[in-house]
Amino acid sequence: MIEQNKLSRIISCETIEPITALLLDDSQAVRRMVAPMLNTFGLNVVGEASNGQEGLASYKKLKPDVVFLDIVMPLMSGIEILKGIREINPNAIVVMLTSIASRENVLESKKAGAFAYLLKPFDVQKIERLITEIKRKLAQERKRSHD
Amino acid sequence: MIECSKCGAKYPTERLFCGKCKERLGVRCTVCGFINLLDDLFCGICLSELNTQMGISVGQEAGETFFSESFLYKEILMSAQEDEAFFTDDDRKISQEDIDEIFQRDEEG
Repeated sequence: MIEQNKLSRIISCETIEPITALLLDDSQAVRRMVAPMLNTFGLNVVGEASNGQEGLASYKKLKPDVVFLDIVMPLMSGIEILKGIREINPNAIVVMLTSIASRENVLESKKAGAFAYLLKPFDVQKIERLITEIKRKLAQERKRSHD
Repeated sequence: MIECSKCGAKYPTERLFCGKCKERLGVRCTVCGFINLLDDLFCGICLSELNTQMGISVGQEAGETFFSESFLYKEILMSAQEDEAFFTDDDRKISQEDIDEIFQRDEEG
């Protein structure tokens, strides 16, 4: 249960600037469920895409702070998309959100620079903790760039 | 912490029913699946109106039937099963805890 005060704490987090997110998943149902959840946790979901090409194009155009990325996608795999995103921005924060629980994929994602790897069906509280962690990281980066 | 109003049993996280006396403790949002408190008006995750959802299924225990009847949840499970079909080697499967450890260890290393 997300308590109201806990939720307010997350939303009023360490940074004033909004944190933007891009959601890449070929399942409309997943996008319909995850987008409002991310919004509730204080992220601003600025775009969605259902395949790799659209996803990379959206990333270039929208420059989101964080990307939530499925692995099994049409046209390009999630890991290829992750590599593409990290080529565009080596510091990009990408969270793999997938049902693929294979060690190879986890290690490859980590090697390609994924920030985290969450298995579906996901634990809401885990996503909440992860978002808090991402907010802290972004707040520190923004503070460093302002100093 | 959730406390059963009937028998006083306490649980660290939200749940639909008391495990000691069967009293209902929560209501599952039929849109996103989150378990809310009985007196919540809106879902704590997706902000859907819970009163409307409860109204539809009074007497049918909305929470109980959610997993078998929710269109959205079914879609998500089907999508996950389709994805999993690409990777059938059960021996190579790892848990979320193992994954967290890999990411943690690499961060520390």
